[in-house]
Amino acid sequence: MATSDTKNTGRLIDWIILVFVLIVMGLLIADLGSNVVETSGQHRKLANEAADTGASPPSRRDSGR
Amino acid sequence: MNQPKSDRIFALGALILIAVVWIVSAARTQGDLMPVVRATIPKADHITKQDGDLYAAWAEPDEADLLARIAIGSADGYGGPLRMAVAVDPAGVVIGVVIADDKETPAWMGRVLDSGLLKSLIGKSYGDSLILGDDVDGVTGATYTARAMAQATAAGGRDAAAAFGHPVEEPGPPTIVFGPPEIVLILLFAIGFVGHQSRFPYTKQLRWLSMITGLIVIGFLYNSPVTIAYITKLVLGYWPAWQTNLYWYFLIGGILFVFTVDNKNPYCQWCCPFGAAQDCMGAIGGAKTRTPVRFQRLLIWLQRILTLAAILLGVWFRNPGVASYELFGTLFEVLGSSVQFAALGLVLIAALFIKRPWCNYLCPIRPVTDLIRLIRQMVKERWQQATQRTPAA
Repeated sequence: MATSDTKNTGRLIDWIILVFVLIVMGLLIADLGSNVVETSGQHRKLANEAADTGASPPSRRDSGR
Repeated sequence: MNQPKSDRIFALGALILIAVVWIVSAARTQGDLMPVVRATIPKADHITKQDGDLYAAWAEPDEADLLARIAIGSADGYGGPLRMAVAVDPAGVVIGVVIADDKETPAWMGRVLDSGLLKSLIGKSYGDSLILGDDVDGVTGATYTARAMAQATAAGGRDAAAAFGHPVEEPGPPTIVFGPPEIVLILLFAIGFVGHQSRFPYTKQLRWLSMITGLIVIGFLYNSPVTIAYITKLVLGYWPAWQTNLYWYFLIGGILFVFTVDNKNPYCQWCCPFGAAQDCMGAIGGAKTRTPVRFQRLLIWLQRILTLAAILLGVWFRNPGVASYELFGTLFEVLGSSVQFAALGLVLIAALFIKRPWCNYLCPIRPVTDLIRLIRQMVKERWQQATQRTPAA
């Protein structure tokens, strides 16, 4: 009986750990995703900041790479 | 101990995948700098590119009135090189600065941008040293990023001013930064070395001393634990100047050296501040080592796949900061999103009952150390095979 209880408790703990890991991992992946979105949107952000400071869009006469 | 064949196949596949992504991301063309250069001086009629990373901003279409010269300055940030476009007027005064390229963690970059550091650089002279805490205010908790921005601005300012014919003094070699964090790190590694000796009678006490010191100094005081960004930085080949980044070299070099020579991890169990925080929680709650037998392999693989995904993202964007998903800053700097605080809360609560849940199931450092161990073992086996085949002279 005691062995069976120990086994059941062990199984329950296994499941609790798995659920815990999956939840935290989900949160971490969401955070990673937001990092990626922020990084990919960096150029847009720069363009917006330029607009906020009154920067004009690149002129046709601008020359460079 | 022999690793299963699946581990070897995964390790090899992971290394090949990282190499492929590295090559593909390196081959991508660099972004056009002109929009960034243009943003430094909005009132210019047009901008022309001159030599190298030097541009000229003109007031009129006929190019009779030169408003400013713009140069791209570079310095080492937390994740890698950080470049700033710096506009300097004919008098040698900085009149515009824009970040051209960075490898920083977005949250930290946001912190620096919110601090108004960029605005404080406007009006500085090309001759100003722009040293944090001296002629520029530092940003608490984002020192590397703030320092890199100031240094890159100083470098760009000098180049732009030199193009105007101003006498520019080239800075000497960077001053060697060797202070409390470096000293503490060396001491902690030394303590770990002594504690690892099998004959040493006070290993447990020494380990706690080392962990608490790591928690306070590496964690709360300097927030400089090993992160996946450090590893990605290494993979990307972003080697910062040793003079100003001795801590990084001691930390990564020390861990790799001890692993290679001794096959022991001098960091995780001895001075990792996040590990120490979990140990403290565990001491309060009476945490036990719990091995979920049914899901052990699944959990190991989930941890490895998450780590690989983070490294691949960092390499793909060539930005180690993107790869960082650790909760270290959330704990030690109380900085992060609500998602990160939720994850941190769960980890700390779990640490009351389970020994080091983060280290065992989520930390990216464990799969990296597993990989180092595996490579070490494979090299050792090959070496032994080779020496056995070679007849003795």
